[in-house]
Amino acid sequence: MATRNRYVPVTMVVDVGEAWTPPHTYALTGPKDWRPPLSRAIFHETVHYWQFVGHAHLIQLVAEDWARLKPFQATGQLLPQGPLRRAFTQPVESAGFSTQDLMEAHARFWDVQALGPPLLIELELEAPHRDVSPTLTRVQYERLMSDGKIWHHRDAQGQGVGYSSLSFDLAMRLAAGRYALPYLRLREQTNDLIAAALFPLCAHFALHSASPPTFYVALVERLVPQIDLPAGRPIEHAWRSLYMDVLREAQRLHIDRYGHEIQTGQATIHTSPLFHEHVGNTMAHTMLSLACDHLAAHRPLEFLVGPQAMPTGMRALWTMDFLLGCCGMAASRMPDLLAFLAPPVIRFSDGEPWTLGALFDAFPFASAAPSTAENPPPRAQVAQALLALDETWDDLQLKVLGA
Amino acid sequence: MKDHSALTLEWVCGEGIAAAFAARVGSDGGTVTGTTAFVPEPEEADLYSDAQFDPLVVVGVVLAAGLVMRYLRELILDLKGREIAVIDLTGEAPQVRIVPVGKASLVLVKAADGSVTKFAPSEIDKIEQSLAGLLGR
Repeated sequence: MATRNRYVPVTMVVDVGEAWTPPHTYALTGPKDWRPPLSRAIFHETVHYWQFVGHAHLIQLVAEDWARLKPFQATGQLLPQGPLRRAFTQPVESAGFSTQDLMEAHARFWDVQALGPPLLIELELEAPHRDVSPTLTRVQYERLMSDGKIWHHRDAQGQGVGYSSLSFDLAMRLAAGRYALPYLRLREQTNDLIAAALFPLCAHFALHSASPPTFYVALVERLVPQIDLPAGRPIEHAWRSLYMDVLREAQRLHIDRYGHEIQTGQATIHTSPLFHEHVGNTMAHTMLSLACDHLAAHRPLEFLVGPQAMPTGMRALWTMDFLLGCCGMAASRMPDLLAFLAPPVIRFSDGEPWTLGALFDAFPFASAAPSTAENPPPRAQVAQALLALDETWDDLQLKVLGA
Repeated sequence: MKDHSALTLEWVCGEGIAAAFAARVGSDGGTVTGTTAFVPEPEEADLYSDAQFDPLVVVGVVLAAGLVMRYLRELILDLKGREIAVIDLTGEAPQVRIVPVGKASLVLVKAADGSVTKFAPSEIDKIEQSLAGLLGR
């Protein structure tokens, strides 16, 4: 039973450090509107689930963990960690941060987006987990509030609409500890608007590469001089319009460094033993394929990224990569990621879980995935199998400790 | 009787409670030598909870040996269902950390030679005896 929040990549279990409560889809569809402290934890760990399913580097890291878990399960043999796992938490000297820091910064970015800067800052001022210099934070936050700079603009009734890039910037920099480093690296080179537009895309493509920290730094350096964004546009438009430009530059950089183009998570999984051997990955990536079919068949063409001359199926594949990279964006989560790729197990501190079946069936837009509704995967069995795997992984960790 | 022997200790805790811990050490007559981010060994890195929500720090202290034992006693008796206290004597200074793993609470004492002894928290007297020997009291 978990006492803290975490995502366990090799077992796909989201652990939440609070007691069980009846499933509520707002935890994922509208985390700022339902029990925000709890929703924030569920949402943040679910973003990690999407990151580990959708990024080539993280899929390869999970494959290393799986290569340890399998023999341990069969014979009790404890093998050493793989090279990606060992390097995951170690800061790369030339970048100043680790792959884990970059992944956490990317997840934090979506926390800010999904909860909104004011709520996130309020939660962090109230939370006892960080030494965040509340006086300084509150002064900066209240100055933005009083200057009317929290909001993007105001509607005819004077209500704030959208969050300004300045408030976004404040939430990204404050209380993020070392996870702020990748974002700060970008902010040193450009303004808050371009940083908000480029950050999730650069982090996303870096997490497809063999060395995410150095790839991120190099990609940022190449892109910043090229990007000029007009103010006043919704940020979601910027992510969508920039996606192919950032992809092109990331492809060039990847070829320069590694001699071949980037492989997305969807391409990587099909050469990984995870796809055939790991029940959770088999289900998740089958669902992703169905999601691509759904995008191609049912989404308007303007929803798809890529040039119109590109075949629709190819555009759907890149669109799915875009949605996974921008997994916290409302248009990514609802309905596509949640209808096809809701987390399989969310376990609470008393050991009671929400399983995918309960979550999936509660989504009002489950009908957005007709092929899935007709042929549902064995969701409850997947959840139980993953919970059993998690027990074995726990035993492995105890052995690592010498217990 | 006052215990004049002092021990150097590394206490790993959440950043949010580190200031309160340091204040307690000060009020108990100890010295805080510094606070740094806790970076686990790679082998143990995936054992720790999501540090986005609860980053860990190492508080270095110099404290009377009797008080170290009292702090350890309190920590061990307060372990929750899925927490393991690791008292690690393999480094330059003894390090105390909590690892959230397993199904029941447990205390692991890692001696300087790397050997590990397991205790249930209820074996607090045995743990204290073992530590007294290992810490040279």
